[in-house]
Amino acid sequence: MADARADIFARLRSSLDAGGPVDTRRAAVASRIAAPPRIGLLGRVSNVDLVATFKDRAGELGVSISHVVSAAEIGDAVADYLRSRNLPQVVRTSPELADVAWPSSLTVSSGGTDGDDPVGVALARAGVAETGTVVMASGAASPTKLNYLPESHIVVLAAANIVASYEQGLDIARGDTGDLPPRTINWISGPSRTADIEQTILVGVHGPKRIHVVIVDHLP
Amino acid sequence: MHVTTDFPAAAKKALADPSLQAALARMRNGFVTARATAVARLPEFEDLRDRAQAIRDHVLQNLDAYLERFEANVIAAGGQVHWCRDAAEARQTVLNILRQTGAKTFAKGKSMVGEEIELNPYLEANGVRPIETDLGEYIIQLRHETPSHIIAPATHVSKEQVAEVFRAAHGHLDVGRPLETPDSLLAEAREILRKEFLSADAGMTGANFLIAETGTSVIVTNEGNGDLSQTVPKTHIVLAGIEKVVPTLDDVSVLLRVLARSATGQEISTYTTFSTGPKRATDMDGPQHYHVVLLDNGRSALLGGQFHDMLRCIRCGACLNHCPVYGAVGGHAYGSVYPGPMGSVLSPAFAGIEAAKHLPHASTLCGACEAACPVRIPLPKMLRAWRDISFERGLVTQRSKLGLALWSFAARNPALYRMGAAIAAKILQKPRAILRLVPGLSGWLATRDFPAAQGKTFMAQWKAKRG
Repeated sequence: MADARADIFARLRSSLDAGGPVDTRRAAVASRIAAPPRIGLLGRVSNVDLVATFKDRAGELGVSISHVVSAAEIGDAVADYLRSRNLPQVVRTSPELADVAWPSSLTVSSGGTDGDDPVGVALARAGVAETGTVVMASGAASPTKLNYLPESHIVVLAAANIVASYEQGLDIARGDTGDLPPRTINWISGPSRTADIEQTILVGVHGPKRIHVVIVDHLP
Repeated sequence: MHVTTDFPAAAKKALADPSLQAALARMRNGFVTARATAVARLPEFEDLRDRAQAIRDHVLQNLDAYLERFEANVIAAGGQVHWCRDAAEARQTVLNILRQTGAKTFAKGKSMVGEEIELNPYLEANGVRPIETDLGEYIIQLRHETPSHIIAPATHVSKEQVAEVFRAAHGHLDVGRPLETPDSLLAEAREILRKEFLSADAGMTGANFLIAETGTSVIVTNEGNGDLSQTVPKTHIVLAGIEKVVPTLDDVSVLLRVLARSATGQEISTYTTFSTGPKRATDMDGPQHYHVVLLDNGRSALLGGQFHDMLRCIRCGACLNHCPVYGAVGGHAYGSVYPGPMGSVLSPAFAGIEAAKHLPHASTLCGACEAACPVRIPLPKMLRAWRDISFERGLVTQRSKLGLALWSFAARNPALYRMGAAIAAKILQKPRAILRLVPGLSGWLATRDFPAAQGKTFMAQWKAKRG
């Protein structure tokens, strides 16, 4: 089907060439991609406390939140949350979080998941105040499936990485990988939901039934 | 694409279906109110619509160059791109990829292009079992139906009907289990589909956007099914139309701000996922193979023509949600996988005006669709253009032809026209009970009214006033 590609481009060009040669379009594309015009921040995230705005918006999406000062408090925050919801004290953590000081009450293992873990704990790249969205990215120490397969999803988020806009969140998620972003970037805005049965909103379809975000002021 | 349309007959049937009417009433209230609320909360919304339109226009003006760039970046990330002129080529391409990897089960995220090319029956006939994983798509797959809405495929189905089809399909479960509540239906679907995700040999998603800058495909879902479909199996196939490309991650951010608000009235969908190539050597999970199947199927023919603006469409469904005709008859009456105003423009383009001749007329041209469209597609103007084309090709009914011939004859004979108008003005003064007996008026007056005529035509009154 090598011909299909040539045919499709020929069809497109039979219309587009009326506006000028393809090289002009290639130049337009190159310059647009080299310097994309970025829009200004929305009013709702201009000159506001981003952490407070993030909490408000995430709360509207059905996300619960705890806010701690230091990394040393993450373990207790996770254990407290699980206890308050009567959830199993058994967590699977992303390897990025293996060094956290977990309390002895928790059974902790670290790595990817194949669906048998009730609780997943992962580190967000960023939080977007605009809609209370967390930004996750795949990598050598951050498995994507951990964000989807466990029934309960706990996200650790550094307060310093809470930004105003999606664009700023994507900047952080792309990191220093240059032109090639991580294989998977996930924006997650609340628990998995559907309205496919009689327009009734139901939570916990295929992904997690609940999401808890632990905001950490000082995360090394 | 297949269009089976006798719209007038199908619409009549839909209007008389109480279960469908109840479902449509729920939908009308839900989506329209939610969108209005979301829009009211974002003062920048109108400005974002302008920007969204400008992004889509810019892409279409440079579509070949953007597609080249997208393809190069998919390949640079380790993926493969397949070009398909029509539905048959796309079906064959997907099957070939599945055969190369020996895949027998195929977890599918929701894809309207998958519906457009009628992928499932083809795969089944060739030894692959496709499993729809979006809850709505799963329900209609079990019911052997097509979607009735582009973002809410099972919106026409009641929970009792869902329970019925679950009992029939999930025969291994206890017959006496309660399935009265939506929650119990959800729990059962979650359990069944979770097993399918974990065992599927390959997975598919559509694409809401393709990003030229990075070779990335983007999907938005609320359930997370698209994520499991692409993360768990070893092969990820993306199926998308060639018009879906956008320049950069920044541009996608703008479009995403209008997409969910226009579609379901959410500020943002639960999951927005950016996928670039297969898993990297050091990644802990993700698919080993990444294929993008790009479909033309009539899209290139729209470029630069009178339906060019339709290619801006981002498939949010706002035009369906706001359309009084869609709201009255639902999606299946249109006989096409793309229903409502956007479908009535696209279906004649993809399937031919002869097959879809009723659809441009399945509209009151009230303009609600254009008013709600996040990329400001002039849908009523394009529906009128299709009406012109169908008239030129003689595709209108004998009745319309006769009516138009009579009118044009009268219009060319002013004396006759005035006489006719005078008679009509007299008749239209009569009480409604009498008017209902007049052929042609009975249907109109059965469900609505119009102001009584004054008894004299404008011309007669004008003459009398001037003495």
